[in-house]
Amino acid sequence: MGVVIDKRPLIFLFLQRYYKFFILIGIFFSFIYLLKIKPEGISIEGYRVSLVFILTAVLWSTNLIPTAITSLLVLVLIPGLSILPAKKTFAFFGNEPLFFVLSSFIIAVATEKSGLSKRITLLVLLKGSKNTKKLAFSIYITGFSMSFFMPEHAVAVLLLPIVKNIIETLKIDKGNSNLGKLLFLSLAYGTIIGGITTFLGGARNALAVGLLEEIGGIKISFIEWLKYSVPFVSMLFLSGFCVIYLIFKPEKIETEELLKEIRRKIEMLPPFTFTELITILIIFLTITGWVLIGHKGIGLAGVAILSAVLFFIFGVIEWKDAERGINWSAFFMYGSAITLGTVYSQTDAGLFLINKIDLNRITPFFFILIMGGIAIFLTEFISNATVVALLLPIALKTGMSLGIDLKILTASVALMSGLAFVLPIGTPSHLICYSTGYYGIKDSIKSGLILNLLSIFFLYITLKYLWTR
Amino acid sequence: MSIKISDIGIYIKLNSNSKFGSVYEIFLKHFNYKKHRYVHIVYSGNFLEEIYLFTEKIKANSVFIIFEPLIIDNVENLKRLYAKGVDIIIVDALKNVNIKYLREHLPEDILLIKEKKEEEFLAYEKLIKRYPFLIENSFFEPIKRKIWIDLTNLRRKLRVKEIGESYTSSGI
Repeated sequence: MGVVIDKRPLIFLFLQRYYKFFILIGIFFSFIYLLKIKPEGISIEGYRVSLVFILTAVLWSTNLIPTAITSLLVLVLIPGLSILPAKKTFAFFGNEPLFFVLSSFIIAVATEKSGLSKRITLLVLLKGSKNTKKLAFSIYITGFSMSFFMPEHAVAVLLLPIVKNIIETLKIDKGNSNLGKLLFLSLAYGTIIGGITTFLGGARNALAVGLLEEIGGIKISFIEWLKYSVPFVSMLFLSGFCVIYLIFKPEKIETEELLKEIRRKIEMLPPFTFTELITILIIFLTITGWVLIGHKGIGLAGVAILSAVLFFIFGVIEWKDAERGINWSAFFMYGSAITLGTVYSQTDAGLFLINKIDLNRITPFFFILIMGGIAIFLTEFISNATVVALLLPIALKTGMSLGIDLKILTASVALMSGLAFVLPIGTPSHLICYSTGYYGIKDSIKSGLILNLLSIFFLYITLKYLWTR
Repeated sequence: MSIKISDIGIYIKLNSNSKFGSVYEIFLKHFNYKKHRYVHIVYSGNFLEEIYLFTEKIKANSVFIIFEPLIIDNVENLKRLYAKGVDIIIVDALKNVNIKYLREHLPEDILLIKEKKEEEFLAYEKLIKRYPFLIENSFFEPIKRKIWIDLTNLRRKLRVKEIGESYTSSGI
């Protein structure tokens, strides 16, 4: 092994190697300095939680310290800065969506270990493997359409082992392959876009409709919701795949040989096993549970946990399999994101932002567009449901005084809050795909920013030409 | 192979055929950090992996390493020795080597001296100037020595890049 000796000045080498430490020191002192400022127009708790919010966003996006450690830091800063007592803060961490995500990791492991995902993979590959574009699109459209009937993160969990198997079959390396990036982003974005279409795709839509009824006294049905979502989603669905395909044009991979290999592998598969049958039954029960009782009783997370328990009872997986499959960084990150978002919504920090807007200068049309823009921005940092919980009550109250159509306003905020294209922490399905390591934060920023801008444009189009007719 | 223990240092003479493992065990048996300020290694063999590993293991005990090669085929060997923790190289035996050439390719952290007799190098002016605590007798000498060794290790870490080294980043 050779050795290279860098003879540049030591101070330069020291700064180059330990620059992260100095940046962290800078951030720390800036944070302390800003804490000492006495805010006006906002409570001390609202101001401090805003600072924690900004600090966390900076640390998560720059990775100056490990993501999981930043997440744990949030649990210290909130009680440490007297924003909320420690008991309440930690109680928020143990929230339902977090355990849904945890159980989702376990379900994904079980689906993979049972061999079912391999069987399904090969059948999917057979249909969609004429070329890499068709392969990516088939994953995209599958994730998109399944998210009409199931929570988008559940769809991501189900399809993840299938996509992973495809990746392994094609022998795609982590980090270097455009095809790898395209496949996982197709899954992430397909589920995100599909998930905003109906009430079943994510908790935020049902929450938005509930808030509309509570604050505005207006009901909106499942079909009426589609009237708002379908035009918007249709435009996004088509452009979504085009954007990621154009950015991550996949490398040329011989698919004819792949098809031959797939047919050969299908022939070599063992007969359908009892474990695979049990896995299918448990997954069927899980989906049924999510659709029928996911919005009441034990909720989505409860159904997911029971599903995970059944996998252990029937011996599909062992605990060491689950340990390997759980992404603890993602787990802590999501828990803290929800904690921070919930604490944020309990202070007047959001109201402070809204009050900065001179409402006299804003037309109703523009106000709805701004709310949609704020929603799509905030959802990158906090959970979709928290964005709705935080923004919609303020938007509805303001909308009532401006004489705005509250259904349109609700649809705008709810739809846009579901579109966390840029940062993985914005939504579990994105985080689940990102945690595989096949695409990096720079990749999702590149494609996500374009899709965010397109989303705002499509919102403008639907508002101007479709919703207000 | 021979190993001599004095009041302030340990002298080890090795060649390619030496049993490095056994020598290291003998070293460990006699080494006392408070007493022994340096390890003087005289090496007359070819530069195989064993000598680098041996040097690295000696360095792990936080001690100055004075290395005296009796033969050398290229400066890359000395660079690797520096990477493994050598602080001082005695070049007197390398009669045909251009010292200026060595100086150009080795960092200034490494001291090149000419005195080859055991402990005579302690009288070498440049060495005393750079590492005065090697001959100092005070209560604080071990502390000063430890700080100096840690600093030189940091400098080494900043300067040296082994080809094939990979960088990892934290996070997901």
